[in-house]
Amino acid sequence: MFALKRSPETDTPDRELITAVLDGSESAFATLVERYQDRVFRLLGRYCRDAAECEDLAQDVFLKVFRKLHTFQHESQFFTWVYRITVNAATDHLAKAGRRRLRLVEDEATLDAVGRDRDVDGPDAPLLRSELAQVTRAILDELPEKFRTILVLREFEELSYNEIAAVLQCQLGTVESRLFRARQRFREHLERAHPELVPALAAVTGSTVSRGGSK
Amino acid sequence: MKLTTADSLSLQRYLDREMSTEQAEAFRRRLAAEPALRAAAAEREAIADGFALARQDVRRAPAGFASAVLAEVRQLPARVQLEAAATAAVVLRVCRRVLIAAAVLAGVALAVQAGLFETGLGEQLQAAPDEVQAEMHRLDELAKGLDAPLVEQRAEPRRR
Repeated sequence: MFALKRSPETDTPDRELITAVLDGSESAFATLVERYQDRVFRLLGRYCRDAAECEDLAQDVFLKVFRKLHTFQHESQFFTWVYRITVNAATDHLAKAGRRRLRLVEDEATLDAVGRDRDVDGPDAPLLRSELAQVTRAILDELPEKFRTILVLREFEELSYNEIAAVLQCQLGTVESRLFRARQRFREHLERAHPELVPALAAVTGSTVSRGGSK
Repeated sequence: MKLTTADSLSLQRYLDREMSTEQAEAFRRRLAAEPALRAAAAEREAIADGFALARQDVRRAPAGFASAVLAEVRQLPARVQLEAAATAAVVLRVCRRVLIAAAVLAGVALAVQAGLFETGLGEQLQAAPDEVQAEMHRLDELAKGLDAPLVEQRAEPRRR
């Protein structure tokens, strides 16, 4: 059995917690789990909508983190290592279960319904905003796994290119090109499923070029 | 007007805040001057807004999740055993790969031996036509020599 020791850790840096876990501290591992559990759940939630499945996957992720902790070399940030394990667990799960089975029925309904006979500048506009989120998720589910993962990491988790490269263990150039192709593919899907939505997006969201800038 | 791939990648880097301050400033000047670039940026921003709306729907860990994980961790073998098992798994994986490589090589060697692949050796072993003719002649003579005593043996009883 795993030998457990108790030690108080709250705002301790990851590196110290990892050393403590490797020395047998249970509370250090509990702190690591509490620190990253919401991020792991949030990321898994992008792949898997069923709460119970999500919890099982999250538990597998943390057990794997515990088992493999001695292999973590501190070459990257701990959270990117945890993310890598999470992404691998999620994509393996999708491959095994068959991604279509995991899609919510409501997403399919939304894909068909959103944008049909809707005046985006009319009183339905606020409703469209909320449905737009579901359309975005549903299109994301349709994308090949590589494109989906990179969009999830960038658009949902808001990771930098360097962090994405660390999670996916690839070059910075690969991140840029894959992200570019993923966005192209996303736009194509959106245009195919909801051609009326593409020009209307800017009007609904009130977009102006305000997001860009330096690091 | 359709953007070039280089411009599209620059736009992506700008909107993702992956440019240095100087690069971003230079790109901002281009945006102000080029309507096509500005239109592409607005569209990209609009799609990004769709993601921003979807981002708000997040799943959180249920209460007591960490305790549940710790309960599972307590069932695991000791850290030393975990590390030993991980090392053993690596060794096993390497051995398996070596065995597979050896089996593939042995299979290829057997296939070559059985003549399933063109090796060029067959052509080298073919004799010249003159040599074949001479050998055939020699074999014919040898066969005649062997037949002669039999012909004599068959003829003798009639004489008696």
